[in-house]
Amino acid sequence: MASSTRDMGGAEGAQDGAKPGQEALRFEDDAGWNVVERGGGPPVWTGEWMEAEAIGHHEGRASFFVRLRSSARYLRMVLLVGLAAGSAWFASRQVTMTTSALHSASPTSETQSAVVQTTEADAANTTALQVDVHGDVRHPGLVTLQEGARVRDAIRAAGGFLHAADAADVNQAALVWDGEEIDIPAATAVDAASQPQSGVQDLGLALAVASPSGHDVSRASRDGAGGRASKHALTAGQKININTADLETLETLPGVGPKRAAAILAYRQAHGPFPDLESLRHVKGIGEKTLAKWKDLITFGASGGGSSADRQAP
Amino acid sequence: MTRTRLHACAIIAFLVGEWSRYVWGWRAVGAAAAVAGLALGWFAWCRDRRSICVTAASLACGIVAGTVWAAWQPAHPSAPPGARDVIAGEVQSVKVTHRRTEIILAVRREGEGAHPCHYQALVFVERGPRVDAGQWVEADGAFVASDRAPTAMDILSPLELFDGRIRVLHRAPSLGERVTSWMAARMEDVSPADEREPIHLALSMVFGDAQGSLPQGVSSDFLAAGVTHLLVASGSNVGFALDMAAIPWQRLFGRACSRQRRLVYGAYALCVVWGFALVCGFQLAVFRAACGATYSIAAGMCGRRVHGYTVLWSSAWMAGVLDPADLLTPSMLLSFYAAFAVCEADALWHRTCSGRWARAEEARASAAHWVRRTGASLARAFILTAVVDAYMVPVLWWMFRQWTPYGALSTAILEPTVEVLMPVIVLWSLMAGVAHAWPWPPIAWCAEGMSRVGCAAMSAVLWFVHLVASWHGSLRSLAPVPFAGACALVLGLVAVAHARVPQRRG
Repeated sequence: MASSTRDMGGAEGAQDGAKPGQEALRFEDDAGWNVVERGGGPPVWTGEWMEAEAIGHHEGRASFFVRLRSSARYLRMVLLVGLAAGSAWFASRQVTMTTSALHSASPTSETQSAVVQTTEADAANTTALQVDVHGDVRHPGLVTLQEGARVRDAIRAAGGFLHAADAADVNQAALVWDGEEIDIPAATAVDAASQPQSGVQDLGLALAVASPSGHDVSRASRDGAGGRASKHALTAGQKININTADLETLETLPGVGPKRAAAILAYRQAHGPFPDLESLRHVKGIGEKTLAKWKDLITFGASGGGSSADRQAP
Repeated sequence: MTRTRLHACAIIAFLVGEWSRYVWGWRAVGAAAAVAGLALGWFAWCRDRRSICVTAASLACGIVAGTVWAAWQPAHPSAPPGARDVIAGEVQSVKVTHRRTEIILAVRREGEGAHPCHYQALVFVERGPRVDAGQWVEADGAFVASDRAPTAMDILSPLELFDGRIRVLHRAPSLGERVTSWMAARMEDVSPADEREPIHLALSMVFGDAQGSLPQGVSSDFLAAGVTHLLVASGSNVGFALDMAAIPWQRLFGRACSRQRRLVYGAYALCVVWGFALVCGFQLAVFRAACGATYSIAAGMCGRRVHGYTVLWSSAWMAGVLDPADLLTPSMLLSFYAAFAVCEADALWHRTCSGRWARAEEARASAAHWVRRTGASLARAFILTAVVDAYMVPVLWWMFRQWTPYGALSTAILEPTVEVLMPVIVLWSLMAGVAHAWPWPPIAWCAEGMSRVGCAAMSAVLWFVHLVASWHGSLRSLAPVPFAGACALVLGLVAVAHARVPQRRG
């Protein structure tokens, strides 16, 4: 490729490098700005040479167009990217404003209720999902996601994990439902000695506490009213029959809240008893990591034939 | 009218005639003919007889081709809504909602007699076996009439609603699946620490992730970083296959200078391109790129060079002839539009800075110049990908309502990296295969070394992608935009790119 004398300065640079006696002017293509070379002389941008001519003859009159033309090449790239990014930013801001309107609106008055309902209707039309994320995330609260979003997206929308180790306890690939409550438990690797055994902890945090033996698992979680209540603890060696356990019993499993327990029950009612550990993966929200934690905590006795206490000794 | 414009006109007329006849029937053909009549009227006004003849003939050929396709593989179900029917096809995607599973099925057989057909259906399943993308299933139930107004996408790519039960069909894996599975198994054999994720990522970068073997977390990281296209086999992969195939050819036979050599090399390149497409399972993006590459190679065999837009038009025509039902599906639309965006960005770059940057690239090799040149290449890649991303915004907004602000940055860094890594991946899989066939210790050591290098490189890519995906606002949801709005934005971008600044002289 031949080198060009074109410079950011536009007309001035072209004037410096232009040797009218050697170059043949050619004006073609859409803008007519082609490099022309003849007789081994330095090539110039013909358009700029013409601009330089124009400046020479009509100094000042056409300077605006000359400058505009010389910077238009770069300006149009900036404009192009700016137009696309600006419109996308505006559209994303619309979504954010809808979400924040939903968050900030308090249905204390009829007017506000109407606003909320309208906004919710709009949100429903756009098939957005409203999910409540709390626990070990940076900004707990309602987040708006697109249909088909996963737990990972919800966590990201809530500012991400509070601690990097929390990711180990969450199945981030699970799909989220509209109106779902996602409780991010603290990391299970927390040092048992540093944790209070009573399960009292910061609001919204679900904590998995290891017993001094290192094998027992208990889980504390807040109840629906926002208070704190410790759940039943699985003592050493006890197992839950996943095919007969009720809602409360299922909630004693690590990583299981009311939603997930209800999902397990619903799946069991719809599809019959779980034959093995792998079949639990069909339940929404249960993944490989969760199953690895449950491996030693559940059994698969036939439905109806289990013990009345829903717990079996190994 | 120039010859290029005439060809474009002919291709548009052909595709409009064929697609409207095949997908929407004779009524749509009438509408298409009416629009074509306007164009013919304009040509008549301009007294351009050649354009009139070419356009009319192309439209007629398209209608005939559409009629043949409609008779061979209907693009709509033969059973009316409500009547029991059996359909079979390949699962494209699965979405599990609270109450039911929604499966996008590429239907290829219909009815008890398993008649060939070619359309997409959204199958609602209340309960049934778990299915994954790529599996073949048979659905037994009834088509359901949709009660909502059709959107632009419904018109471009009709989706039939089907309610019923499914069962998985056990089919022998395709050649591509067998090849990629074998390569993955061999690469896992030589992997010192059972690292499946980097291996599947490496293979996805070459052949695409058609089987969905990558973990969901990795896919969502790539999505949030705006580099999902690296996991999909596309035109760049076809180009890479051609480049790799050219190396042994040039070693053995040298450059194809004479006409006879050009012809032989063209035949070889065509085999490579379509062989690669076969291994990739004829994914739509690869199929389109293979069509474009075929045209380029054919032109090369004739000793001619073709422009990017010409290749785009010709690939559209070939894809329309070979697979009209998928011509306007989202994947194909994205592929065409992405190719158009790349052509636009390239043209804009050449109009803007080619002279300055070419001068910079001509600088003599020294350390300082090398650093400057690398920096210049990175900056150039960033600017080009920013322009491509800008062009992609309207379509991704309309189709997915998503925006990845850091996409240009991560693409500018990752694309050259992946281009460098491609030969490493090929060498890695080759070494793994050789080590399996001939378990001689030195070869096994080499294979293990390649495996370590490859896994480390893939882990670095994963780390970078995860880093970008973790940045605030990496994946933004957008408010819905109508088709007309997206088109207006595209036109706005094209206008900005091609607008002429008024010239004032004398």
